[in-house]
Amino acid sequence: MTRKLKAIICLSCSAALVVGAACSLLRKPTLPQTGTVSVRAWIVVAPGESVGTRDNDGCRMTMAEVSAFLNALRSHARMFGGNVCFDPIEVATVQDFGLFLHGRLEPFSAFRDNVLLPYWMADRLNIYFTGAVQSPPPIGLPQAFTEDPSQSPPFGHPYILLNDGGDTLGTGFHQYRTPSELKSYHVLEHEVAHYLLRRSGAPGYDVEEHVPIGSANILWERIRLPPEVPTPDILPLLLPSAEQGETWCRVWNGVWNLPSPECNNF
Amino acid sequence: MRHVVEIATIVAAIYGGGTALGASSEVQAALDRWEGTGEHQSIGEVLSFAATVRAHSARGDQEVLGRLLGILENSTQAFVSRREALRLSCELADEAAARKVVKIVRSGLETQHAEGPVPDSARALPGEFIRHGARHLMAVMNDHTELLALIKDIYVAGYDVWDVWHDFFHLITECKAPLAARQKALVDMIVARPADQIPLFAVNTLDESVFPALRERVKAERSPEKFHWTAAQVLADLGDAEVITALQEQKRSSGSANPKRARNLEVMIWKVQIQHPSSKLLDFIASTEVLEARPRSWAVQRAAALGIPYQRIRETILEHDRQARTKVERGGMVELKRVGLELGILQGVDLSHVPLDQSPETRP
Repeated sequence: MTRKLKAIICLSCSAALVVGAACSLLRKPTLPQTGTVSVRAWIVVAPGESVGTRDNDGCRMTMAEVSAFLNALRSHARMFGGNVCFDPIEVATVQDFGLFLHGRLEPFSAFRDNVLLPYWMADRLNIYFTGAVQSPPPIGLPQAFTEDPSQSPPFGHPYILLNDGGDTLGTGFHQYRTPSELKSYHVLEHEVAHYLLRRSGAPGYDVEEHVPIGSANILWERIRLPPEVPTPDILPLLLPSAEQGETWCRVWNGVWNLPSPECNNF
Repeated sequence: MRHVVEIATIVAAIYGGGTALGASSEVQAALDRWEGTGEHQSIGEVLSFAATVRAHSARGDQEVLGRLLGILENSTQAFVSRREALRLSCELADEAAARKVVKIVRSGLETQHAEGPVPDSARALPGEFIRHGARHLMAVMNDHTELLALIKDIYVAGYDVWDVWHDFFHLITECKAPLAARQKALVDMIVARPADQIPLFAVNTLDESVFPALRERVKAERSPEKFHWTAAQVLADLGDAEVITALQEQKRSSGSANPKRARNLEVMIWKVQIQHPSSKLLDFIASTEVLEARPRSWAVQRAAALGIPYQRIRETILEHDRQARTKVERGGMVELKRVGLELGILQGVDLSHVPLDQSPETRP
């Protein structure tokens, strides 16, 4: 069933590309349009909580801290190649009943039922700023994670999730040390790179799909590794040029949120 | 001589690369370059050396292991180089090499500890050991005592654990050391970090024998800033009735000044009370009551840990499913089904109308 759906989507996308290419041949040649990714950021709090309160069960980041993440993504957009830009970026607040039920450490299934499925927009890159939602089993870690568009609804709802990692007496998660620490903003860029690259199961990467084998460039190391790498506070992440080509191609073609291998001819 | 080389090549091909006959020429060449480049390697080069060694070496190849351990021990090598050597050593280790890896990681831990605060760069190797190494070693070691002690010491030493938090506890609970040794390690880990959360699957491997040590920590400090929240939470999960006094005292002092903390304490007290007698857990599971921060999945796990027959727990879950009608009442059904299946309380046919998460695996 999944394969069939994928095939239909691939065919539709290919047809759309062919029609698009034919139309562009008939028209006066123009330069490629700048590709944009529309972003919907959701700040997830428990019922009755306010954004930015430091003892929330849900997200403890302030609006300014969330904005700083999104602004960093916007200003480093060129790491994804070409003229990729993230626009518009909208921010909304959502109340998660799962937090009422489970408290701060929330199983993914509760988040999925109470937030992801009801509050998900197909035409946007959905980014959820949360408290301590565990990644899907069997990993179950309250960190940052991504489901890329390798599948579309009803089989998958692509998203990016970032837990706050703020002060957590009684829960113990200090993921990014302090939310205002500049290098933590690269966590979002890292997850967006996963999302746009869709490396799931693709050869040529290490087991975690973080490091392209044989490449001198790095996707992962700047976030947590330290020694010989220049301080990540100054530089954004680097994507190898081939990967930049892929991400730019998807965004330029307007298919960044579809599960199709549309870039093979690029 | 030529025939000998050919036979060696054929044997190597059959076994998929390096064998007891020694490392292949590709592996030799990769290791030569790996060892020679010192701190000036690019990450791409190191990964490519590692990929060659991984593809053409067999577990227990003494020559390859000896050279990998040399890279691992060499502090002038770049971090990425040592990290890859650690991963590969663990993947290829036999029992003797596994003991050496444990010794090297421990010696690094002690050296860093002795030099004062651990710099960010030095935090990564023990983390890599937990993330990628320990499980390989567990598979080849017969005696897990030293391994258990090392895993515990890395946690206790205060290394960043956010991305391997579950791994620590999975490793401790799954290793083959005697139950008493594993429980002792868990108690040390609980005591070492007063504001952490311990996963319930790890708590459920503990029993009354750990109560005295944890009660002592809870009673030691009364101010909320120094109160041992981790020990208190574990005792509450385990249903230790004696901890209630300390919790109530904390709740009184938190009062209206910190309603969130007071609420958390209330939940902890509830967790103790609902386990006396344990049949109250079943009543709660079967009911449609929705209480803040009191998930049924927790009650199911505790009921199983307390030895209540699985059939009775299963019946109560099914009873809850029949009674719960509103969206709010059914809020925890997916989690309940997942936990029930994981523990073997539910069968595949149970709650077939509750869809489990079918999302593809996510990447951290």
